[in-house]
Amino acid sequence: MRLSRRNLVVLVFCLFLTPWINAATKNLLLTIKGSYLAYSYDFHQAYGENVEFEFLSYRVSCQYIRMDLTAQTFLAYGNVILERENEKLEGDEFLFSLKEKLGSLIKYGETVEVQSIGSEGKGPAALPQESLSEITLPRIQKSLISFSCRSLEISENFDVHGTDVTLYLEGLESVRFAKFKLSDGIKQRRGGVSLDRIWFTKSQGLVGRMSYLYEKEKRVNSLTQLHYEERSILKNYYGPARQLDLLTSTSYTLNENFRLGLTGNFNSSNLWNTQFWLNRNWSQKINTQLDFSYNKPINYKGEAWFGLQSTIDAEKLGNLSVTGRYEIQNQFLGGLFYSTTFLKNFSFFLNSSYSRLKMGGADTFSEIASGTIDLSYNSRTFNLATDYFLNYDLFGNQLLSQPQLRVGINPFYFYGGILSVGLTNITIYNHIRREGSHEQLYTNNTILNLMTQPMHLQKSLRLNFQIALEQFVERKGRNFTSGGFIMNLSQEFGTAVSVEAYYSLQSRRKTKGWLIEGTTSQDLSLLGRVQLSEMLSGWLSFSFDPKFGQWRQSFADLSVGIIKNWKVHSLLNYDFSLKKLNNIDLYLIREAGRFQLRFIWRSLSKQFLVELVPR
Amino acid sequence: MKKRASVAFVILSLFLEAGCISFKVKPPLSPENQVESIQLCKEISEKGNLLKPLKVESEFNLGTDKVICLIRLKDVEKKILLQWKWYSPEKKLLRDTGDIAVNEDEKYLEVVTAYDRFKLNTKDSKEGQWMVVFFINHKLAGRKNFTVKKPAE
Repeated sequence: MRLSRRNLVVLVFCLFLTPWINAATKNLLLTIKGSYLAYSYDFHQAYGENVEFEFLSYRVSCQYIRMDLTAQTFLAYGNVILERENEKLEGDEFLFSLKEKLGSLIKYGETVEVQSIGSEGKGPAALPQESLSEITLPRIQKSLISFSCRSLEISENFDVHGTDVTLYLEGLESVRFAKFKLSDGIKQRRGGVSLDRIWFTKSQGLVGRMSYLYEKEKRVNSLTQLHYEERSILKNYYGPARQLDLLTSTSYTLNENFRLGLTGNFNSSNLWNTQFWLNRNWSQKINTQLDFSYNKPINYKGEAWFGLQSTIDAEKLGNLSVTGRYEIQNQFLGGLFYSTTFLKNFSFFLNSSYSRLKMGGADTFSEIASGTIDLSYNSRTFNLATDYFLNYDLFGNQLLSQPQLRVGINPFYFYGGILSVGLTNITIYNHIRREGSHEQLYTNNTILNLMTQPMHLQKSLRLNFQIALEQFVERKGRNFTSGGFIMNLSQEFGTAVSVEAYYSLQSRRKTKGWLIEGTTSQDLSLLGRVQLSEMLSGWLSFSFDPKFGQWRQSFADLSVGIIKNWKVHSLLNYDFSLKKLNNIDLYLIREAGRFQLRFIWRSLSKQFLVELVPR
Repeated sequence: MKKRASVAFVILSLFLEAGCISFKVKPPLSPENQVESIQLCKEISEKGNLLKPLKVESEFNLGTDKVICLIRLKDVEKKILLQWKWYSPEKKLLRDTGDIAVNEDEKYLEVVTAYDRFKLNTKDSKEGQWMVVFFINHKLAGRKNFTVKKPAE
């Protein structure tokens, strides 16, 4: 067999590259050899037996070792021996940190003797040990993904490589490798290109998502995402055959007070926009942002906007924000926002804006000025607020002014706190002025709320209810009276089972002159919960309409632990009027320390999903 | 055909050279660890062949409580020596069980449970952070810390 010139070049290049790959793994913090070593990918923890390694200038041997690579602490125990030239130290435990480069050798004799290693007379190291105590061999062996090997290499960024590796999936022996990277390390390499997901659904077709992330710590953050949908393979689909979306966002931090960024979005239907921004903190309380953006809508001329936004936090004097945006075709947006609190109980709020925007593709502009002023007072017993809203349409010459007055009595309690009452009244006056005409309208709404705290009728039987009454009055003589009643009864059977019943009655009456008309609705719901153990829990609910004597809906949720850390979770909904199951969601979930693996079936969208969710 | 073979050769050479693929792997020896769990509790259930903790705790009351350190070992094939040592908050040894021989007949036992008990009503009992360490064949096999405090009135 003869190699082509191109393949020979590739081979030589790869051979040249290999030493570099090996060199990349030379910066090792620790190399551990043992008769048995086990690593859990789920928990980023490891365990070892009959172990030897080098730490600082010592050769260390021990019976067992536990490693928490997230906390970066290690515990060697059982006949621990530290040796170097002319020195031999013995102990029962050796707790050490690779990051701090120090440790404590402990001996359990008549007293607990602690000897510091590497801390140069600073005394014993205070290293976190909580997570180490939970590391056991059975825990590692019960991981979804675990490895056994003869040696482990831990690099500077806490990546773990193993030699003579056997991979176990859910405890079952799988493939073997001479050398394998067991972890992603503590600093997860988030940068680079990743294929986020590819799936097919009957509604979307073939969908793919890719992203590219570039990060430079505290300086640059750039994320570009590509979304693609292929719909030509769908039956009876009449929209665009495919769609591509490109989204990109990059921010650059020059220093802690000065940042800039660039964002851009492109859609294959020829819709795109881009924005460049500069953000400056003048002090902790004053911030300014300048931006330029270009927006290209479909079928219309592109728009180029210049913007300025400034915020000032003047503490007791209030918060002020000013925004202004100008577009080169004479479009303009401006806004002013101010809020403050004074004399403890008073608060003031002002919001005003002006806009001059093109109407569609034509050269006509809409001009609208609007503003809101709000002054409110809150005390322990009542609250009072006045609000004035003004909207002036300069193009259509319409003016809407709407003063509002709100008075409320804060809920007060009686009968030893069992009952509480609250009262609110809102009066709104509307004045609309158009060319040559005026229109006035007022409404008044009074709401009374009476509710109880849960009352224990028996040790495990509770009752509470709520009554609400509302009177709505309009100037033109349309009056509404609404009332509602909600009752909740709850009974517990031990700690595992409980039943709750809800009854609600809503009535709305309209009076106009002598005519009274209205509607009444009722609902009775029953909810049963079961929590027999961590492995079995669920609830079931039924909804019934007593007025028409009809069952409406039923929901059920069941969670059952199966073997190891697997559990099945189901959620279903039954519609009694349609006599069919509306929806079933089935989840098969594996809790695996740093992540969760889910298999999901959704009957409504007929989707089957596999999700790997980082925790 | 030649082209495909040469490409396959290049790829295989690359993987072999980089050490990503190896057909002979020396698997590690079987693990020796016999300690399945070490738990602290106030009471244990002696129903059945094995002991079970009833209330696993990490805080105990001075004067009234006893602390039980229950261990569960698996795959015991040979005679082993167990030993518990209890240390006060001042790191002083207050109780040493000495060697306790288990499985002297050297039969295979799938699971072994054993415990030692420490009473908190002696004159040496004090509030603070206590410790119990556990040895198998004179090698440290586990440690548990616990808090002793005055009972709530």
